[in-house]
Amino acid sequence: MVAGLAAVEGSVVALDLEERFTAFVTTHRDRARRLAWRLVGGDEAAAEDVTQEAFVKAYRALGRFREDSKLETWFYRILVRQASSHRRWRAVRQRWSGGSGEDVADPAPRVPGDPGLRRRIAAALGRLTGRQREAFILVHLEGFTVRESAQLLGKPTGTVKSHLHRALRTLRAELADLQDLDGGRRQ
Amino acid sequence: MTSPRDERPVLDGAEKEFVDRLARDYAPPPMTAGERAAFDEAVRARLERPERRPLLVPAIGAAAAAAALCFVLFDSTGPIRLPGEEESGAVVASSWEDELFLSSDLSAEDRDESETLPQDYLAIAGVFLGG
Repeated sequence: MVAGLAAVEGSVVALDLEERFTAFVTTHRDRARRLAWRLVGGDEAAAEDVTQEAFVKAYRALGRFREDSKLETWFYRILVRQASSHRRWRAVRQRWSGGSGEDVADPAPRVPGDPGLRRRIAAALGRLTGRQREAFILVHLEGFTVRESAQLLGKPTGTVKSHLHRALRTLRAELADLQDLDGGRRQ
Repeated sequence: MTSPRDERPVLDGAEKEFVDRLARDYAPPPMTAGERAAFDEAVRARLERPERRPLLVPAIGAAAAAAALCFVLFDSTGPIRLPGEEESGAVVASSWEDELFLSSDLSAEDRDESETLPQDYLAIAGVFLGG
C-alpha cells in the first residue's frame, strides 16, 4: 500500500516534471535557438544541436531546481557553454583539415535578407574574442541585461561592460560602411 | 530573469542604430509550427537515448592516465599539473557542469578561452583527430 502510494506520488512528481519541462521548452525554445544560432555563427544545424542538447541537460537537472528562474539561468549558461564548445571543436577540425581557420559558418541561405551581409557580420563577430562576442550577442542582440549576462558568463559586471565596450568599438570599425549606409538613409 | 532594476548599457543614437541593424540583419528566420514540432520531437528522442557521458569517462580517464604517465616518465623535474592548472594547485572539478553551476569564476583576469579546448575535449581530440 505504501509502495503503491509512493508509486502514485512518484508518477505525480514525474508528471509534474514533464509538464514543467514542456512549459519550459515552449517558453524558451525560440529564444534559445536564436541565441545559439548567433553564438555559433549562423549555422542552423549546429544551433539546433546545441539548443536540443542544452534542453536535454535542463531536463536532467529539472529536479534540482524548484524555481524556474534559477533553471533558466542555469539553462542559458549551459547553452552558451555548449555553443562555445562547438566553436572550439569547429576551429580544431578546421585546423586539422587544413581549412582557413576562419570561424564563419554557412550563411543560412534560406534566411531572407542579404546573405553577404550576414556573412560579413558573422565574420566580424568571429574575430572578436570569445567573451566579447558572447557579451555582445547576449546584451545587444538578445536583450539580456548586463547583470544577467555576467551571471551567464560567470564574470563580474565590470568585465562584461568592458567586453561590450571593446566589442562595439571593434564591430563599428569593421562594419563602418553599414553605419555610412544608415547615415545616408537618414539624410 | 529580467528585472527592471537591472542595468543596461547606454548607447548614443548612432550606436543604437548600428546595434539594431545587426540584431535585425543577423538573426535566423522565425520557427514555423512544423519546425517547433520537429524540434520538440528531436528533444524527446534525445531524452530517450542513454547518456553518452558515462561511455566517455573511461576513455578520458585512460587518456589522462596515459598523459600523466608520460609526463612522469619523461619529465620528473616538477610536480604533475594538468594543462591550464595553476601553480597554486587549484582543484580540478570532476564535472564541468557542476563547476559551471556551483562556481563562478569572478577573477578580474579574463582570459580569452575561445581557442582553448577544455581538458576533456583536448583528450578526446587527441584520440580521434590524431593530435
